[in-house]
Amino acid sequence: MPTSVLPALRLDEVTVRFGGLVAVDSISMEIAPGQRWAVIGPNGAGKTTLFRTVSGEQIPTSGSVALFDEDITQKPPHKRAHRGIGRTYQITNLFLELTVEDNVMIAAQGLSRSRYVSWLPVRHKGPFREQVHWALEQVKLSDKRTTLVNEMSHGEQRQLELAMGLASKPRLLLLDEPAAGLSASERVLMRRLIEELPRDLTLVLIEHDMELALEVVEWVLVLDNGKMIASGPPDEIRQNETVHAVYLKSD
Amino acid sequence: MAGKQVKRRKSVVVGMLSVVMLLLAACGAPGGEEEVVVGQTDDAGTEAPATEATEGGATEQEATGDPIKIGFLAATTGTAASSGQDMVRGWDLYWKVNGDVAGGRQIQTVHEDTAGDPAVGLNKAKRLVENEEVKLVVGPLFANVGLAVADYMTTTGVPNFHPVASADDMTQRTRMDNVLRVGGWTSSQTSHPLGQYAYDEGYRKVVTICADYAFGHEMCGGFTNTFTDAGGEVIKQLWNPLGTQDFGTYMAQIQEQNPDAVFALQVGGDSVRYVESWSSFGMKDTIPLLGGEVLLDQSLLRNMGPEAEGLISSGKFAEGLDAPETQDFVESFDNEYGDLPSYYASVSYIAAQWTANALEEVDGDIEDVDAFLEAVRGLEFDSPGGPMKLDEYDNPDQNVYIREVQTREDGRMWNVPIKTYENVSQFWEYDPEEFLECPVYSREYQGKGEFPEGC
Amino acid sequence: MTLTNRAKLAALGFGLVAAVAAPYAFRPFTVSIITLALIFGLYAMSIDLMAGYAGLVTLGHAGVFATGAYGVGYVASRIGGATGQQLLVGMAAGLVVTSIFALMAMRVGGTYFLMVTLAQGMIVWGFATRSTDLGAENGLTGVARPSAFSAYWKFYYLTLAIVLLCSLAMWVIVHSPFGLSLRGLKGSETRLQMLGYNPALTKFYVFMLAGLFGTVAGVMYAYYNQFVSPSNAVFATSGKGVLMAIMGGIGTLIGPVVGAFIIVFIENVLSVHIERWPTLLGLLFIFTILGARKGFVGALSDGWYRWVPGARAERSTRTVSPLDAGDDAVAAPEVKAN
Repeated sequence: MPTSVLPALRLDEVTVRFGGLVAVDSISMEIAPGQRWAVIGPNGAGKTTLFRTVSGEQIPTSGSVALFDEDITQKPPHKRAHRGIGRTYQITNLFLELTVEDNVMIAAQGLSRSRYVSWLPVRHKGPFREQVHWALEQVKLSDKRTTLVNEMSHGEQRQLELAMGLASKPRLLLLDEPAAGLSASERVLMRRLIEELPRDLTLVLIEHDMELALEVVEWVLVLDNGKMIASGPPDEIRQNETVHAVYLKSD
Repeated sequence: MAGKQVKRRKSVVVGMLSVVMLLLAACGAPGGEEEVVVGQTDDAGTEAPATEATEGGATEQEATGDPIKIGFLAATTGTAASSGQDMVRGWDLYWKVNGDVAGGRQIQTVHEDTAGDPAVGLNKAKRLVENEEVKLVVGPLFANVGLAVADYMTTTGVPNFHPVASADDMTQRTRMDNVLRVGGWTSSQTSHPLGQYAYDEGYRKVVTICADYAFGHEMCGGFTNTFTDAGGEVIKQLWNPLGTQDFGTYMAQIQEQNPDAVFALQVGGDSVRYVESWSSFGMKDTIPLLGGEVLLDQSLLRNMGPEAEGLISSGKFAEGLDAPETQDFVESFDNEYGDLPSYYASVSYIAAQWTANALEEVDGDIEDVDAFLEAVRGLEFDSPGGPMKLDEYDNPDQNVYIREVQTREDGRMWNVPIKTYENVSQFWEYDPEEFLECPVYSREYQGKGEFPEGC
Repeated sequence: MTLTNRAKLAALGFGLVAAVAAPYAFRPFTVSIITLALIFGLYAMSIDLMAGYAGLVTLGHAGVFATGAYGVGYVASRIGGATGQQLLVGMAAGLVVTSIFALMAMRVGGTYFLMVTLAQGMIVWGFATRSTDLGAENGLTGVARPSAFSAYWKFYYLTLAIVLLCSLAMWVIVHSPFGLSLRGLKGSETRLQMLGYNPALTKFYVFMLAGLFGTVAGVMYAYYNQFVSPSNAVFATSGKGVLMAIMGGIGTLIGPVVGAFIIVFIENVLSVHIERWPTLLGLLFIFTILGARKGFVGALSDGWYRWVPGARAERSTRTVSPLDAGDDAVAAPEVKAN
């Protein structure tokens, strides 16, 4: 399988400086297609900034980002979306005045030319129907199709966040603290939803909650003060004393 | 699925229904035939909304025929409200003083506010003609509103008198048959003589400063044209935007030129600020100022202090003119409203006087528009502004006074004539046909050089 | 077919019948005021396409509106061209200016968008007041309606037909995939971009569509007044359009038309009886902002759902996605099952 040789995502010495502050300090990594990664670290470690260099919301000060061997360092987010990157948000970022179905529809048609078609009606039964249904099925929201988003619970909105990331069938999905603000039982559901995501989908997860992160991924990158302090399989990270020290320090 | 089909069928039905209705509508004209029938009086079923009719006053004549409704347009709200109010006061005063019957018929005025907006003014004119069925529309105030209204009025055939709106072309290049400047004037009509006057006074190098819009361009053009034709030189033309708050920079630029005199035309609050700056920058003592009529109009003198005293301007109305018609008018206006009349009041009064005189001639038969307008065109009479007569382009030939601001015994200031140019035509001493071949005065065309070859 | 949809259809049908019957029922002046309200309704709808659907409040739409009007006015009064030429130049001028404005504004949002559009309106106004070719302050007179439509009632039907056609087009647009994208733009620009939409392109496109309909309204306005003046482009005209949309109900298509009728009638009919009509307008606006933020249409629909028993029941199953409207039979049981 020659394609599997190509890394799905490769960061090469990515550095982000905000004035004097080095938010991300020379991070390199390579994620193979279908792998599930977590980036963990205490608050302010640079997780989200690193994420943003992948999604395109932050252009790195130096270094490069490549998606399936294509350099995308300077590409804006919408161009990266067309190359197969999807992303969810830590702070729920949905179209609150629309229904669940319309939200996912916007996501599903986002990569198609028809997103700019203004002379035909939206067809919920049209070409994107299956994508929308599939995404809603994945996050267990099929029965909420016609609910207005601002009438949903926080937990359901988090589920929808995930569906939004999935609907365009990305090759690489970035999950920004998917369990943020969830109750214990909701976390269990969220963990199950993540575990049930298609196996061929490359996944990068940011999580402040180390436990949830370590249970659903195969590889973990630990950041502190913008630097990588550890990298390895979950079991290894669990044993890593530096990581424990960092987490103890901050919690 | 079934529900959807029903829905679709219904929308098709609705759609077809509306198309059919549109077709029906397109075939038959509502109300029988063609356009608005102007001046029809058989519309008994529709009662006109409450109208502000001018009432009271000494009725010297008995009204025998049906009343005549006249629409009066002025900007009585907005920036020019005080000028607009003066128009209304002048018009109403005539009917109060002389009785509201003319040619045996009672005159009812329907007042409308244009708010100084052409589109609003146009709709108000439409309402007056179409709903109120007025026989004559007088006004409005602003030139741009006036042009819009005049354009509409030509399509109705209802006469339209313009005592105030002074856009030159209304009685020049775009003259219209039923649009007359009864009591009115063209902008450059009053500034043409001033150019000659300036030269005669011995001034050779003049700076002009005018408000940067059509009226300012025309006033400045009139002055510049005659002054340069006489042999003077306009060494610099300054244009300030309407609503200029600070004239300081302009004063400095004027001083730099060291002119023999300055011609200035400002309107409203700008005039007050200009005259104030002129005095406070010490220019009043060193450079003669020649103003256009509205720089020192009575409506503004009311708000000015001693800084205005002694300033010179030219205008078709001088409230200090020592003539019985003028002083009777000034006195009754003062008695009625406690103010001296502005030019806005005088021209509206003259328009009323003109209308009344013409109605007498045709025995009140304003419905015969041609005969009525013929009477209007044939009239010659003495008004508060002096002798009046329309030229063949429907603008009055009238006196233009060089006026000086003086203080009356009661402490109020007014404009007193120090020189009179009699029966000034809107074309000054130029040949009308040659004059009309040149463009209307604008920022670009000020008639400099040898007229008319210069254009 | 739900009660609500039946009511909407009935209201629409009644509105159409009333619109067609108007010239038979009213005096010429009233008909021409209705014509004016329709033109402003179209203008306000075009603003609402941006403000209500895409969340892009423009304060300079009068610039586009006036450009269309001036295009017609210039050809009619300065060149003496035929109607076809007037229309061509009016529409072309409006669209060219719109595209320049759209390029200027497409990369900004929020307050900057307000400022940029405000400046755009001022540019057109400034140009109009200064250009001698455009008649400066005095504007352009002598614009004649096409001879076939010169009678007030014919012009009314022409306006009605054009406004209906444009409304239909806008209805299709707001219910299209692009219309959905617009609502997304209003909801969250960052999310929309992350989903593969180019926000600048989306803004450009909606700006052009709003410009297209705004230009049509401007062209009609020139024929309505039969003159064009800088007051078409003045900030108050931009503001008035936004006001109409807000007062009638922003984010709906019928709302701006209702708002236009309210404001045009206050300006031209009530002003005869009420001297302080600008105050009335101001009070009404304050009331809308404070008491009925969804505007007249929003308040009406809230009242409908609250007070009509049958409709109250429907609300819980109400679908917002418009094209799902015919789909209630499917949607309702699913919700019940929940």
